[in-house]
Amino acid sequence: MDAKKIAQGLMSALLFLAPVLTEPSLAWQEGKGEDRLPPAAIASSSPSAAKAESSQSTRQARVVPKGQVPSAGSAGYFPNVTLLTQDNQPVRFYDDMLKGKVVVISFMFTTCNSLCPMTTAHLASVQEQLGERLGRDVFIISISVDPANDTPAALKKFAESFQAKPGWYFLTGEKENIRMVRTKLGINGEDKMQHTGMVILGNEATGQWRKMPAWQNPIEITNAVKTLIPTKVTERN
Amino acid sequence: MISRREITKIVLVGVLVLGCSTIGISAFGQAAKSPECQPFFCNALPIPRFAQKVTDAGKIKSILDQATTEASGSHRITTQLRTFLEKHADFYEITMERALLQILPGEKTEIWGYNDRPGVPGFTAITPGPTIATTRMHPVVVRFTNNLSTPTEPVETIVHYHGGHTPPSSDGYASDKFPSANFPFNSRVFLYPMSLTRGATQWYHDHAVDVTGRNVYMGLAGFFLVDPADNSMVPDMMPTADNDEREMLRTRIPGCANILTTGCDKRFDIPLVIQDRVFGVKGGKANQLIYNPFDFDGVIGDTFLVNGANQPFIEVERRHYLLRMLNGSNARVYQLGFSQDPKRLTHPLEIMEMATEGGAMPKATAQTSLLLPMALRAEMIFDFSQVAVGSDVFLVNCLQQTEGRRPDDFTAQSCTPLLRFHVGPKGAEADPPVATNDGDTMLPRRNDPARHIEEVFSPQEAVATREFKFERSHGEWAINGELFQAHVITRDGEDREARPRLGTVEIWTLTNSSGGWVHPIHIHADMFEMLERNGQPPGPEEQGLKETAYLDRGDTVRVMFKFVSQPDPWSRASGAEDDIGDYVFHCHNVEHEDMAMMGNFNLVGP
Repeated sequence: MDAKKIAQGLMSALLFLAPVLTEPSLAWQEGKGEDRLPPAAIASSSPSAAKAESSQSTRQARVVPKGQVPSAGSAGYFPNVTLLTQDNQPVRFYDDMLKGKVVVISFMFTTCNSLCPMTTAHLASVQEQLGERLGRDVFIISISVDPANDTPAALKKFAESFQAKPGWYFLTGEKENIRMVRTKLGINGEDKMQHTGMVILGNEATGQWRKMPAWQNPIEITNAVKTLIPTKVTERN
Repeated sequence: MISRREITKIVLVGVLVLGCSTIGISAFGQAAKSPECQPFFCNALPIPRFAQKVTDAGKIKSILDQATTEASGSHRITTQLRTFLEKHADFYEITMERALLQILPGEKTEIWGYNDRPGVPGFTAITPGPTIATTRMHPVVVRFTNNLSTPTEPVETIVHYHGGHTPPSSDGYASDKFPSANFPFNSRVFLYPMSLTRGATQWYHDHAVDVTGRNVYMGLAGFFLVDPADNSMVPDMMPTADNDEREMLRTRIPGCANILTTGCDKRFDIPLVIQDRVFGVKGGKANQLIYNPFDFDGVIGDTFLVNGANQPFIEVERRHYLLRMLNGSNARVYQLGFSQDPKRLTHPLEIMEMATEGGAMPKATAQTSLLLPMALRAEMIFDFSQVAVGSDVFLVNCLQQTEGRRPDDFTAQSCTPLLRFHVGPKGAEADPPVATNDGDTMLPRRNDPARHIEEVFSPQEAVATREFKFERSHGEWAINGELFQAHVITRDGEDREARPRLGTVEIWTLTNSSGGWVHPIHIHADMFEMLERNGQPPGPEEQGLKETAYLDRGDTVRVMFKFVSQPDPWSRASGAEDDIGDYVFHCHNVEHEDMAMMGNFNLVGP
């Protein structure tokens, strides 16, 4: 084999490798050809230590890996567990209560005498202000945070005391199903005495969700709901 | 048989090639891949354009006419004020619009941004928005128009100039959002007197009640930069410019050597807003901003943007620069450093921090890292001559955080690069020979009745001490047991409504007893000085005028305000009244803010 051929072979090899060789080699450099950093590592954080925190649930990291997005409007986000209404009707949470609907969601329990009387009374005002739209364009969903004690009958009695009309559902069910629904809506506390006074408003179809304190002037809640109801586009002549 | 000479040739060629590879030159005549552009951090860092002023008399008239019909209280547009504004104010027409920006490779991302040239071809809404820039005493009038709503997604907005002392009706009060039942219009005029703001890095962003988190996340934020007063308002508003502050800039701030003649050279002045986002598929399109409306602890992301760009780089000269840092994230706390290694801060480069939210600190302070909670700003002088020409310096974040509640550990061994500075040779511009050193006085405070913001006052003068406790309650965070209700004044620890009187000093104690959550508390209307953090005087990086106090778990912070009237020159020249009325204070984890972690205080006349 003569030197010329070796040299040519070497030069070919070097030409081939030139793109690699001409980049400064630094220890941190990762993966040639990658145009972005590797995704952040996802870790489960341990429960908050020694701080007054009522939630006992282990928290998952909130940084969502690329490509796995909890799109709030999608069927995959909300659990489709079976719950019971105040009329003892079984309903699937996503398919029957949320899908395609504009909803006002609150949390209560029938023996609550702190927040619930006031928040539910405000929702009763909202019910009045919505008039015909309740049950047609908008649904109110009050979810019990005490499913062990809140039977459908207890919910029925509670609903009647606020003159809840059709379109206002009160839901109870298996403790685990209620917990799944609650946590997906961002309500993580396990202590019923500390349950939220927020109402969550949403238009499932458009993926618009917001929350506001239930003790706002009911007019504010109604106005917020109205912004979620799609406006009908009138035809131009 | 290979001769020794042949082998030598081969080896020499090999050595030549390998030798050239370490300095990035191809030995084979083909253009080498530029060593400045690594496999990543190749996107040019955007510097948001300066907002263009409206000069058309007809448009100015339209803005002032609208302001006159909307105005109330101290915002009321009297004839005198109108004449004054026509003569002296800068006017802007800024619309909020959806736009598609190229942030990641592939599909463009829909953002909600601000556009200072609506309707002008070639100008879209951007995020961060166009930079509004002015000097102290030089009023700014902006008509903001909300063009974001679609039939299926109505959007309510209101703009807050964060850091300004502004009349209540122009401060971006959360429930003044528009369009709304109470204000069914899609535009509103805001008046910024600018009389009580020192030279500072400030910003403007959305503040609509209940939906601020989503609005800011989608892009509604921009810089609002203030310089010390120049001669433009002399003698109408003041006898002299803010000459001592300008002299401080001339001797201390990069690019300002000629501030007294031609002004600062903004090439050496770089605003940087850091945000974290989640991108994913939405509506069938990739690379869209994904906002989880059910994360009430605080939305954090895994993709970092600086000035709206992912993995950006900027060419800089080997000299001093002024870097203005803003944490524009919803819920993430950063601890930033400068390093030649993008993944580690084991050999941090020196940062000279010299200004906080309210402007120059009393003394410059040398740091190796900078803790920057949400909404806080820090200005620093960074000397790129710490590295050789041709080097890269990375802005890195070494504070881990996996959920919105609070950050985890600071890990110098494991950092995330945010921005790459590529250092080239120093150009011809003078780099002030007086470098700022640790402990250098930046701006002395002194008593000057014409400049209330410089007034020195002491805790002994306080007429009221108010305690506010931030506690977890019913799944939210209450302030002294209450959540936000529009125009309901928060009660302090002694059960008095918080109604400070103009012209008086108050001390507020802010305590975070909410358990596992951290809260940066932002207070509107006036700046404060921090007296104590957990019983100790604050460190040098928390001195000076601030408006946002970081409360880590269990922290108690004491802050001192003087609630001030508009200074005499402004009142005299404009005829405008004192700014009395309701202002908010709130946690600047915007998801907490949306959960009504917000209170009201009411400024009453002197």
